[in-house]
Amino acid sequence: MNCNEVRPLLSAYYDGVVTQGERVQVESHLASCESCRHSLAEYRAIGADIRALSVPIPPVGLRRDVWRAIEAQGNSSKRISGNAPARGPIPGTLLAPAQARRKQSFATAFSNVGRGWSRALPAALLVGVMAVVLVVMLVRKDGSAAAAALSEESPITAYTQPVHVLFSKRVLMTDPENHADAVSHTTLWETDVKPPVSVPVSITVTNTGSGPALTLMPKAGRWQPGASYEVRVDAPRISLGVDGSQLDRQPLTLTFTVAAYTPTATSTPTKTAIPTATSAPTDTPRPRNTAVAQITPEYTPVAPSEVTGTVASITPVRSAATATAVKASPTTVPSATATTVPSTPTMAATYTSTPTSTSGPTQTAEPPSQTPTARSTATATAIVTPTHTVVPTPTRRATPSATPVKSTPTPHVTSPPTPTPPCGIMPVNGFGKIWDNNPVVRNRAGCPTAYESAISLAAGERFQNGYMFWRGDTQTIYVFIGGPNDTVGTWASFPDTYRDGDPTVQPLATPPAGLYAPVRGFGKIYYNETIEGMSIQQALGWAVEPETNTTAAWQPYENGYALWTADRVIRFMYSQDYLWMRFADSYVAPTATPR
Amino acid sequence: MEGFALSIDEKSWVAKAREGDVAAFEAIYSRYERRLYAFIYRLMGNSEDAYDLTQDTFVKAYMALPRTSPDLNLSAWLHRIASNTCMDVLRRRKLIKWLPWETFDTNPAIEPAADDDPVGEYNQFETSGEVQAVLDKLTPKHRMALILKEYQGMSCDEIGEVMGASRSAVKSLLFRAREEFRQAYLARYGHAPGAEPDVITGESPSRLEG
Repeated sequence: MNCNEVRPLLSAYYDGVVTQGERVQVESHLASCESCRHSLAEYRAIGADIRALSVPIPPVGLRRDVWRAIEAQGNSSKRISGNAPARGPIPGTLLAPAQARRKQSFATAFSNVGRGWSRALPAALLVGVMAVVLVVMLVRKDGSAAAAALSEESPITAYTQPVHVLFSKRVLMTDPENHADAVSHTTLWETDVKPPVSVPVSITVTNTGSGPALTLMPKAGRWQPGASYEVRVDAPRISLGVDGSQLDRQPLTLTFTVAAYTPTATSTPTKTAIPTATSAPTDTPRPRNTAVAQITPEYTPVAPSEVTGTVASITPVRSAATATAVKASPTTVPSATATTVPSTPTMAATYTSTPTSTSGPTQTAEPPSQTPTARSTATATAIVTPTHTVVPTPTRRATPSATPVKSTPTPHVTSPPTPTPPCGIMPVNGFGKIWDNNPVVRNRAGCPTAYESAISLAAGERFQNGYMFWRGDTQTIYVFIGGPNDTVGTWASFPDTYRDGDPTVQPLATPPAGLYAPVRGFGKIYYNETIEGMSIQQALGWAVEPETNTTAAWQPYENGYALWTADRVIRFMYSQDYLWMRFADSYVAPTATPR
Repeated sequence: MEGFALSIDEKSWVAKAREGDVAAFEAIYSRYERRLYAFIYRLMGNSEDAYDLTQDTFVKAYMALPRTSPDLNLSAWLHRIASNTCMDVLRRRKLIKWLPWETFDTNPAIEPAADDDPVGEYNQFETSGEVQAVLDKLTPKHRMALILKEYQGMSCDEIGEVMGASRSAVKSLLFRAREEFRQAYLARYGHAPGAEPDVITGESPSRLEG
């Protein structure tokens, strides 16, 4: 072989993708050809040069802009340009592009108003009409006899999931001739902007099994994270198809919100879209709450009979938990008991068995400081199909408030009952607050398998792209991959085999000024271990601080762990896919008692 | 469960992300953000393009994920989207490529960094801005193959998957890429790569390995 024949093989030889025969040929040629040896050396040098190129770190704004662009996709918006870190007014949320979009869609608002309310009125008048209509809606906020209801729970957590409007009467769904049908007179509005803007919506008629319903989906294909919406049902214009009767004398407004993007706002199965519950629409106006009951459960639902039977047994458990909470941490009481207020009267209407636990005396004590919790709603399991949302929904004005509610100091108490699976051990304190409020966490982590415990011997170190944590009692090192702005990442655990006196791993490169190379046990993992072919060192970058001692709290769950560290960060670590989610610990302990 | 072995199940993320689990997509994003950003940065040679095209890549991935097959090779797929996204841009810019930009002797890849800029600090490692300058001169396909191989650490088969080419096509692409690099390097610096020891013996900074 001459050099020209060998050259192409040389490149493949360097890459290790030659056959055995080719290898022999190349090597025998190399032995006698200095020029080709030189070429091979050059290929190596090229490779070394390229590998020596630094790995640029993405600017901090990139992640946020990616999410914004994803969110804006449905609105035909393109790339979010620029890389100034503080571009958006609300870092970490997805609101900024929405605002821009709203400006443009405001122009279209009036035309849609015309479609829904009156084609003939000039635009200027419409503003006035809208104001009046809004007043009417506010007056009607009791909503106890709503002729239409949403079947979805608010907030919507799956952005691509449609919402369904159920009617209490057999309305005309489509009526091209007389234009007196539900589809024509149902409009969608985004209300977190002033003035509210109409949202282009596609409406289809769906048979839910409990009668026809309207399925609404923004034409953009997804809901605006963090936005509030209204479905306006112009009930006076919707005919029942018999003797000119109408759905209702006044327009109806069905409100809901969409969870902003946080780990709490992650998906729920889209199959929850269609209500599956039993109660068919009847001619009797139905309380708003009936719709709530139709949400398909996210958790494995307990069989109804079983649930009913366990009311008595659930209650004592909860009472016991409450009693404990009273003693241990007074501020947990409002969250644990005051939130039973809404569920108790609601249930009293339907079921006679109300909780008679110790929660009674404290119910009116003070406004709940937290959102409704799992504990409080455990009793609701008796009647309501479990729903997935625990987040309070002040905008649900149609929630039956006709029921005498003893003390409803905050909108929180109008939240519907939201049962959660009863756990033998309930998470408390900061873990409990997140677990209670975040369906994704509950879903992923499951129930605690032990009480939380304090770790007094612990150390942590923050990195450019992650965090290392050492648990002294079990001699385990946990590595969390993910930058300072990440709320989700991957984790791994390694046994800490470093013992005092062991030689410190020598850094392969000196960290730049202001950054650090980890030492001791962290260093040993950092330099020697890998995650899927990527060394821990590469994954984490340099440390941004020296290793520091910390205190921590730890709780094992069915599918993972919760870790609290003294910097008031809580990480839920899931063992099924080695994801972690990070939260700020916003729980305020009642006293100075250390966790 | 608490263990030595780590098995991050990327497939389960993909499956969940496909169903709209935003947390799972976020996890995918977190894992690949640096890797794809670095890839695109080296391919395009500047941070503005890297920023914009990384964004485009992930948005496209998010949109396309529901239509992918369950046995998706996530890494190759994401790199493929990134490659196509970059190639589109490069193709569009081809018309102006012959304008006398190359008379400028500055390297667009290395930007002055503010004192408090951690990225800039990080880039202090860069002893060889020359290398990026040479890469920038290569035919885009050659540059891509070389970066995928040497910088992203991919095998020839993986590169084939990313670039939609056969294994033998990748081999020949790499050969031609290396030859072109060698020529460009020689033309620019007057000596072959590796001839100057300083260029290659600098301490290699931490980097992603495939």
